[in-house]
Amino acid sequence: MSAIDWYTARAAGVVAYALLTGGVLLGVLLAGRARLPCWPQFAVTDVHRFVALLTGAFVLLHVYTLLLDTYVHTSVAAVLVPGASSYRPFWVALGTVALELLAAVGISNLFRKRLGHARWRRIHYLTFVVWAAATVHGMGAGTDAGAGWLRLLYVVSVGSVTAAVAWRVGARRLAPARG
Amino acid sequence: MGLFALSQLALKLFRLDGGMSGTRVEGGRRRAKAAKRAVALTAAAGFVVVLALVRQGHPASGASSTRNVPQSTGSSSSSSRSSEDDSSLDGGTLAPPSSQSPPAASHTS
Repeated sequence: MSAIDWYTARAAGVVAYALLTGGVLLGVLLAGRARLPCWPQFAVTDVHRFVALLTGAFVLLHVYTLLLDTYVHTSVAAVLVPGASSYRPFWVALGTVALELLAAVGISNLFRKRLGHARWRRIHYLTFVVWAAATVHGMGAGTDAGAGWLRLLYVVSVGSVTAAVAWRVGARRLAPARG
Repeated sequence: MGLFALSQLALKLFRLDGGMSGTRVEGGRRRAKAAKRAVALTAAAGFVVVLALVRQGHPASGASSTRNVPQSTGSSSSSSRSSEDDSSLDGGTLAPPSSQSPPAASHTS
């Protein structure tokens, strides 16, 4: 094995995080029923789903290449059991938790009709936990966390998601006042 | 005739015709398709760019962004590694081996 596995794992993790952020932002827009000119709700939903699928693909690539990598020697147990990794156990555990919650959210999407909208929506809120865990995981476990370009990505991601959530909460509080 | 064609062109330029000839639903579908393609291309391009950035961060390339690169001990005490264990390495001289596995790694493949 060459170092390319390690580099691929890191790059896939960063891209997955950026896509996750994009998916969260689109999800908040949808939940807040934001009206975008020329963009019907179904079109935004379609893009949101696609971004979520692409996020899953890059997360799988991240995990797969970590398993292949002979540098850190990540085992299947380390990927699936929080805290089982010998490399930065706490930060990697956050990644494991994020991965498993993301899988749970993905599975809940498949059973959306059976779960009912309210229950599905409650499970879907776990995406915020996934995003928060992924952010801290990247900052703590990522070997490039100190690089300027990655810091910029974290600042932009945290800033945009915080602003979107603030807008959503504000819109919800204003809604009853209007009616 | 020429004026009509010009006005149609202006409508298309400023997207006042909805940006498409069909209905709003058709337009939404088309936009979603274009956006998905753009997202996929951006993700692929982003992956290549990030791959280049993390490679540039390799100490062998002279950059210093990989100051926290994990220590490859290659010994049986790898479980004792922590985020602090590379703090005494003077700016990060350790990185994934560019061409070979750690010297005493236990894998056999």
